[in-house]
Amino acid sequence: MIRLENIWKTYEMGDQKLHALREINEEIRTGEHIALIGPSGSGKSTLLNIIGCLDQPSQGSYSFDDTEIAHRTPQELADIRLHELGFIFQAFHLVPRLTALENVTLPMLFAGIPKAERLERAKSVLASIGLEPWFDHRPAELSGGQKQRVAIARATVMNPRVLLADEPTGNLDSDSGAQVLELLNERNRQGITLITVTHDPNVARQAHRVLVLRDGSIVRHIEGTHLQSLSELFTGFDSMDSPSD
Amino acid sequence: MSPDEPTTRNALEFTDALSLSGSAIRAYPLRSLLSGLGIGIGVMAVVLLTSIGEGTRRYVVEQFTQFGTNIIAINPGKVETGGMPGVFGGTTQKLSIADAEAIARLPDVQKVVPMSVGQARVEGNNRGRSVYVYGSTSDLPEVFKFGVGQGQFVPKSDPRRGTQVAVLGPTLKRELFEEANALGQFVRISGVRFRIIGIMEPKGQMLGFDIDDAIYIPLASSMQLFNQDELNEIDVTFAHEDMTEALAESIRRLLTERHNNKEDFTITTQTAMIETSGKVMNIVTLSVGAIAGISLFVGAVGIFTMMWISVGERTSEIGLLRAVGATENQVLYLFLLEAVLLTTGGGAAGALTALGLGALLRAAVPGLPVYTDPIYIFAALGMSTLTGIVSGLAPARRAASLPPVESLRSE
Ligand SMILES: Nc1ncnc2c1ncn2[C@@H]1O[C@H](COP(=O)(O)OP(=O)(O)OP(=O)(O)O)[C@@H](O)[C@H]1O
Ligand SMILES: [Mg+2]
Repeated sequence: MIRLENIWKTYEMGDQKLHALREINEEIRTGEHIALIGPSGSGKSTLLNIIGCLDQPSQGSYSFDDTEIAHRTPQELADIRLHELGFIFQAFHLVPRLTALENVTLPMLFAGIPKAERLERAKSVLASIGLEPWFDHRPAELSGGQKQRVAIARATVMNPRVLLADEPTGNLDSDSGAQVLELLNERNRQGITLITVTHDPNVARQAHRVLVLRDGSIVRHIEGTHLQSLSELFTGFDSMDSPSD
Repeated sequence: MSPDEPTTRNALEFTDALSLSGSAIRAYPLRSLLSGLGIGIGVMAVVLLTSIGEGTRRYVVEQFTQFGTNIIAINPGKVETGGMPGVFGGTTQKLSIADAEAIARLPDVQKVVPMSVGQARVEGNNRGRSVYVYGSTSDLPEVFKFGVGQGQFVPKSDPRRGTQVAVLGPTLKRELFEEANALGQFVRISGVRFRIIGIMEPKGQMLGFDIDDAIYIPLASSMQLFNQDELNEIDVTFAHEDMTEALAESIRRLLTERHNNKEDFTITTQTAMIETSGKVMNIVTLSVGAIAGISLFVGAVGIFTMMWISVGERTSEIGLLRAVGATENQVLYLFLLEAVLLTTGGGAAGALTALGLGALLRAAVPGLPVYTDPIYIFAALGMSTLTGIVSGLAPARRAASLPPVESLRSE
């Protein structure tokens, strides 16, 4: 469903060129759980944002459902984000002045779904992840774990086919992190494609496949039994930094 | 996952956009209040000033038309611009009773009242008072819509022959005779004895002048009393307002012909009077318009600044909206609506304040004419909305064109 061919992302800063992504070739099938790992600045978020139609590659071809994204209008990209994709961010990105329920309702507002249906769907999604008592609470009154669960509810309320999570547990303690991961995995088991950027070996270990990025390139594919040996990979990251030329 | 779900979208409902933009305004109450204040004060000033202006205009029109609108006045002398009375001299003709009689024979003319006016001391019941003396004919009450309260008006008779009868205005009557019966009593006007045959009904004031402080006598008696050889005024009534222009023209032609082809008189129609007061009001309206323009501009700058800052502060929120599927147009719409809500809200508050102040003014100064035409309220609100669109457009476009990735990064 997701096919990346020779994807480059280049930032020009003065007369310097910075390749955030270089020559990415990858195919992701429906229902897969992919983890993107790699040192800071290796291009994980950049890749995720391109897959999420929030950003465009400088070069190469990205097709979603066999249609080339480069040929889509901004309006069509917005439609894809609305109907096919759900985002979860490390910083939650809840709208502070809106209640949990209203935050979950937000995408449905842009889809023009009638109010009654909106409320029903938002309530049932929130209730299904145990947030019923927090409907009318604003983000400031919620714990980090609760916020991220509200964000997951928001990302899934339009029944997307792909969930894109950029370090979803990065701001959480291990207990709430585990809870959030379990929610994401559950969605994946229901058939939603899940792509997670993470620094956490425990998160990566639960994926079907792990893609290791360095300096904008995918340097390793890890799957199956090899996932057990991930930890050493991560210990290496801390001493690594990856400036590109 | 449901593959057959629609992949396009319905429009963002107005009410939903309203509550979303409204929540942003409520999130910063003080800032919103201050930015709406400029528009509010502007609208308040405009509504209040136009209310006073419109009230004054209505008052003036009412004053002029209290004698009816189907009336034309003819006075001796030419006062119109360009005319130089007497310079090209020759024999200027006096405005005469014969002129009045000739006008009366014109088609469509209903009544003609020749008038001789002077000021004199009226004495009676051992008291005296200086008042206006109106010499006229029996048709005067009908033409000016005056009522006779007691007795009768000057009877129908030959306008060239005087009789020593008088009709008192109610103020004069009260000043001289108080509550006593005055009918059949005598007064002296500049020493000449007149028998009182009637008392007028109260009519009130015109432009602050007491119409009831007057005395009415036959035309010839007045001309004799004041030693006049011409009329001060001829008033003509006619059936329908539409005839005004045509009739004024035929009177002008008739009199010019009668006056040796000289237009040595002035014809005043009610329409002309109202037009004159309308011109004065136009100047007032223009000044109010200038104030409105300035205050709306100042208000617009305030809204623009506030919205621009707000977009800068909320980039991450804007990025999020785009990430969950909002289109550029939907973001534009939301921010534009926010600006419009601020200005229209400010405008509505300003209009309400003006209405309140108007009511207060009316209560405090009873004579002050204040009239708020609903049109001005709607116009002010319309202008406020327009100001919102104009001042919010650039910030809203900025919000819509922010690249989502960069916006999400900014936190
Ligand atoms: N708008 C931009 N302009 C210039 N350089 C950029 C821009 N966005 C990203 N980069 C660069 O691209 C590279 C990849 O960034 P990216 O955010 O994808 O890294 P990452 O792997 O997500 O890192 P982290 O783990 O710290 O989140 C970095 O070197 C970054 O500085
Ligand atoms: Mg990142």
